[in-house]
Amino acid sequence: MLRKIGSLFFILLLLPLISVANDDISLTLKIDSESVSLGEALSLEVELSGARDFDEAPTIHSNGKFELRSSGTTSHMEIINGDVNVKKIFAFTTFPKEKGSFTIGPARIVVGGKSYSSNSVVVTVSEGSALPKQQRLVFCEATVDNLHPYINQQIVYTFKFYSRASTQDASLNLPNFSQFWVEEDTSNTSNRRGNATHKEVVLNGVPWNVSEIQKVIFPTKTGKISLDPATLDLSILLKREGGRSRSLLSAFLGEDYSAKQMSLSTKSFELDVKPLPLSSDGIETKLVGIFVVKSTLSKSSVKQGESLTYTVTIGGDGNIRDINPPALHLPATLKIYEDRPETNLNVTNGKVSGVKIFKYAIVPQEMGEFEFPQVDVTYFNPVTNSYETSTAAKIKINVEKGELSNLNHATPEIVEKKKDVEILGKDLMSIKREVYPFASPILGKHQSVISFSISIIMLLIYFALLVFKRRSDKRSSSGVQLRKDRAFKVFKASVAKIDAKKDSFQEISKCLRIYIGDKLSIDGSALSVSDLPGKLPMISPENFRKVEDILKRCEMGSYGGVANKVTKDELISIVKQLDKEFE
Amino acid sequence: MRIVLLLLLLFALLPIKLFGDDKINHELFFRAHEAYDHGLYDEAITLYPKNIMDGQLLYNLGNFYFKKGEIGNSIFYFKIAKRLIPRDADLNFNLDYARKQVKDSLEDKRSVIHKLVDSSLLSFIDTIIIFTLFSVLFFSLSILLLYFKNEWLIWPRRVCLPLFVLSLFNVYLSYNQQNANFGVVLAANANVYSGVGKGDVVLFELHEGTEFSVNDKIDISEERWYEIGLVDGKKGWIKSASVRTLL
Repeated sequence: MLRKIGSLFFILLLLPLISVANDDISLTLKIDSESVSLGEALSLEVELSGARDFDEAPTIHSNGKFELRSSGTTSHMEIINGDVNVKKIFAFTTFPKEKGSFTIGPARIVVGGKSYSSNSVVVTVSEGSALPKQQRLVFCEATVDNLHPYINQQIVYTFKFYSRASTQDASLNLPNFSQFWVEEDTSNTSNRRGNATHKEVVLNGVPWNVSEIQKVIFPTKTGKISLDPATLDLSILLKREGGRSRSLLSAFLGEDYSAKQMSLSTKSFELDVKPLPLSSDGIETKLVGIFVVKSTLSKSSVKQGESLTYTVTIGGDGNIRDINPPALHLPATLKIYEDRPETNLNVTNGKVSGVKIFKYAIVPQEMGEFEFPQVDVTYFNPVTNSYETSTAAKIKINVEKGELSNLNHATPEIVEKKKDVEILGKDLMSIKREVYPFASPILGKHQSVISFSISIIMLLIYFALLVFKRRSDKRSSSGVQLRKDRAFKVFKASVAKIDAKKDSFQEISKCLRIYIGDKLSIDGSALSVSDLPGKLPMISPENFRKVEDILKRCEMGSYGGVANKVTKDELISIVKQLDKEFE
Repeated sequence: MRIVLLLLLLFALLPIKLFGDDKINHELFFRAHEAYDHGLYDEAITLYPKNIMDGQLLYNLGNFYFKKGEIGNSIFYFKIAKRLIPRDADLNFNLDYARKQVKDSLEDKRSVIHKLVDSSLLSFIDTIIIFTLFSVLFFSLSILLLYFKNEWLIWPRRVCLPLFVLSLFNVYLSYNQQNANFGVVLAANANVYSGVGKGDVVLFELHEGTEFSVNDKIDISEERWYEIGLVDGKKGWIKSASVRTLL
């Protein structure tokens, strides 16, 4: 295995040194189809066999009937029985420019200072597609709704891409609209993605996915204007023929499909843009479409020095952006402050509509009745082929006497453009004069100490409680230990109940026996004097004797014998000594 | 448990004794401000106490020195005030303003942590208080968890733990910054040398108001020298006569 890898590595190292005799060099020109229609593309390959390097890139003779676009270069190498064969393939996408039968080729290339030629191929270019539309997988088309518009008249350019195959890497080049004013369709519909709308249509019983881009364009000059074809480069995914999916992974990775590169184009257009006809009244206007004008005042009466807003709104369908501000002929006693015009456009279904609003702040300086004259807007209506005028009626306003002080300080409703505050000097911020909450240095020091102390105390409390809790848990978990620990407490409680005046031998004996029983985890009530030697080996002989003595005296006293009385103090004393020994 | 309660009570009462109001001579401040208003900056500086570590007082001192035309001293006091009242907008404005008057322009090549700590809006005391709050919260939750195993206590405690550790780290950084020695050039021009010997050369020249950190100090022939470091990484030795340092 290692030897094989070594050989392969050795061959790879030698590859750059392999030279191929120039005698074996050949050049071949290949196309994927001998017939093509206008608007479709051919795939063309120039294969250089027998050489890897070349002096000049191949040139292909096509008599100007085709447009050639390079789509990359690939290299191949084959080693068969020690013979090395190298290939270089230059790929091109070819677009026919006119219909007819044309020869492509020969291709020429210079290798090692020697020129090599390829074969030629004949291609037939038809007007329509070689295939009817319903048999094709993709096609595109462009339309213009009016080839003879007036200058500034809105027309609609529509590009449609029809597809019934999966596509990828699409790149669209629309014509250059440099001689037009362009408005994009901005309508927000559910089937819009980016600047295109998508829908499904059925043509002759065949369903298609259609992507549509619409642009509203306004020609800005008269005469012949040509619109170049729109081109769309894309790859369509075709299912590989023969065989099932190799694996789920290959299906997941899309290896069951091959991509076929295509280039589609639409037809070009030539527009004949007409100038607007001369008006009999000598009126000149740039507006083409249908427009309406109206004017309003924010108040019907006002006092001297007060302000009001005069609004002129011009709206309609057409070249809204070309609307100029109306000429205002107002008395000099009305101060006018002009605001920036506001344009609201709406482009929907290939139609530009909207309004342009002009606002003026008016401040009357004198009292009396004033009249805002009527506003006329003249436009050319391409539907009726005539000039029309929309008129906003005149408006009267009554100015009453106002306060004189307002006259010089009147504030228009529309504020003039703001100016940056002028910096006249620079300085520090002022000193602090408020009541001083000065603190002594010791305060700061102790503040940190106190804070830290609180933290440490919390830590200590936590650990103390943790230790306490663990011990408590341990005790709870062991009943024997608990019984041992509580033995003395139980004993003390029992002794406290004994009546000292009476002869209570039995009670005293019981208390002692139960105490010993608790300490030894046995049943103390069943303990007898004879059991003691075996049960209390850990007790000192002296204390053992004392315990034995007490129990014997109690036994004798209980059964009527003469015995010395056992006092509570004597009992507690001996049990305390026992407790120490048990600990 | 009784001991714990007793300790808590003791600490609750402690601040009452420690936080007693110190007597401050307000009249002195009033006179100093009056002198300042009349442009008598020397008098205002003389009247102001210099040993009280109070942010507002030090801020005012910085203003007095600035008005007097001593940018170095002004920056010195503003910087100390910033350690105490780092969020004061007036102080930050004045410190920036004073720094703009300094001739030397230095590119700050310090680490991000250094820059963050330097521009922190928390004083050392603030960091301690935050740490205390988190520690109290964390240990309170821990104590409650000893007796009540409750989901509503476990998660807050888990959240509190990293905050508690971070706040402790913040205290550490703030402590280092609080105790870092720094200085400001007071002389119009000051040479920075490669060493303190006679044969050592002048590395660069600093101007009034330039700030530096003090790495070391040495006394030679009754003259003190500081080893200083600039934010752009330059280092050297400077005579104490031309600078003012914190420690």
